[in-house]
Amino acid sequence: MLHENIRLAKFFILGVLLQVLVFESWDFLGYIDPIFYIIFLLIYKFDGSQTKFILLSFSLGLIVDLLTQNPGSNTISCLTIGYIRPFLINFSFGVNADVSNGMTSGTRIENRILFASLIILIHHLIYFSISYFSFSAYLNIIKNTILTGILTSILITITLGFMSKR
Amino acid sequence: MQQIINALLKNKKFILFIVLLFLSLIFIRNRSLYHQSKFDQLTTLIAGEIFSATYSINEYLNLKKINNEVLLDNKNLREVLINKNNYDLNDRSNIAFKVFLAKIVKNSIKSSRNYLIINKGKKDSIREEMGIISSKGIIGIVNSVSENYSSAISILNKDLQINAKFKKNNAFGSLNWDGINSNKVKLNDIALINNVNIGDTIVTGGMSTYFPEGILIGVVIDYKIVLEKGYYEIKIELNNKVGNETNVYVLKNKFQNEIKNLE
Repeated sequence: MLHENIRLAKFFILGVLLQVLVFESWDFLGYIDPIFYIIFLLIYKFDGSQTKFILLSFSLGLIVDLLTQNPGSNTISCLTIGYIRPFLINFSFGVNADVSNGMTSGTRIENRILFASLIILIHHLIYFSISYFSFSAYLNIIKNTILTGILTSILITITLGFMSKR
Repeated sequence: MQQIINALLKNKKFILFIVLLFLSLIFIRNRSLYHQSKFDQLTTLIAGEIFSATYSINEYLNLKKINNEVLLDNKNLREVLINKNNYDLNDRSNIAFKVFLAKIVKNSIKSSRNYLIINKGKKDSIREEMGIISSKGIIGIVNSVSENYSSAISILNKDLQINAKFKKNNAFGSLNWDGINSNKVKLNDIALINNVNIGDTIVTGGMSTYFPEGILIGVVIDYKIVLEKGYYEIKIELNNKVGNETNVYVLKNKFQNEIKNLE
């Protein structure tokens, strides 16, 4: 339990620091910044307390927003993922939804890809919708969601692949 | 109480999510002027829609009250119009015709001698031989009064004769119904010396004590010259449809008894 908490804290702090210090000013192709901290929302135990997870997701988004001078789009997108994550786990993993660390071991790769894609897509869609906060900017919202989503996915895949090998 | 606590505990994750979402929205509103203005636009829009819907519902629910107010206003204006020659806003004691509001509760146009009943009687100051008009024309004359209701001879009654005249030249005659068509009446006793055209307007003559002068009755739609009598036989189309009227005005002539005594 303690080991699990330390692991979570590690990802939480690492996610925030890398996001704030590295990826927030990465500006790939001039304007795309991947959202790395989302890895915390992916690797949290599938059978862990959801109440705790909602609070942690909210805190994660809030801290990133405060440190990056963002109005609050990270907070709302993380909080929403925190609430809907059990539904996404059931949808993506089906009978394997009860595998504790399903994102790193014990589940099929296509289920993990589906789960990660859904989390990234929904998170980014909410993030950019809140950032633009205007119906007329829907093309920008979709474009940024897709491009940033691709970059985030690549980054997360590399990180998770590295973790699995270890 | 226990059930409420159980329901709260059962949905604690959802409640936590909503509370945190609410806090996030406050956070985002306070940190960004752009989001603040967007939120303000949204809340203004929602408030506007809610108030607009509430206003529409209230307006609908108050229609009866508004209708009564309009009727009362119309009654007062009609009183001014009827007594336009001697109406004094500060002293209504001099006016010749006082106007009362009433509703027709029973009406008939099928018989050759039609009667109608209105929902005002003795206690509302309605008396026999008062004229009844609607906003579009004349309706009849009160012939019997009970405490709360009054019966009236309809203009669509063969026995009723009403003094009427041409608006253009004041040539007057006697109006009565032939018992055939509920929209048409006959104007008799107009001398051949007068010029009659189709479309001429016919109004009340003011020679009787029932109706003041100048109340619209209808227009000429046809006429015949009866040489042997020396009079026209004129067909008038009524301006109002007596069978469809509901709200009417009862006219009380202040000088009716005085004139009748002289006659």
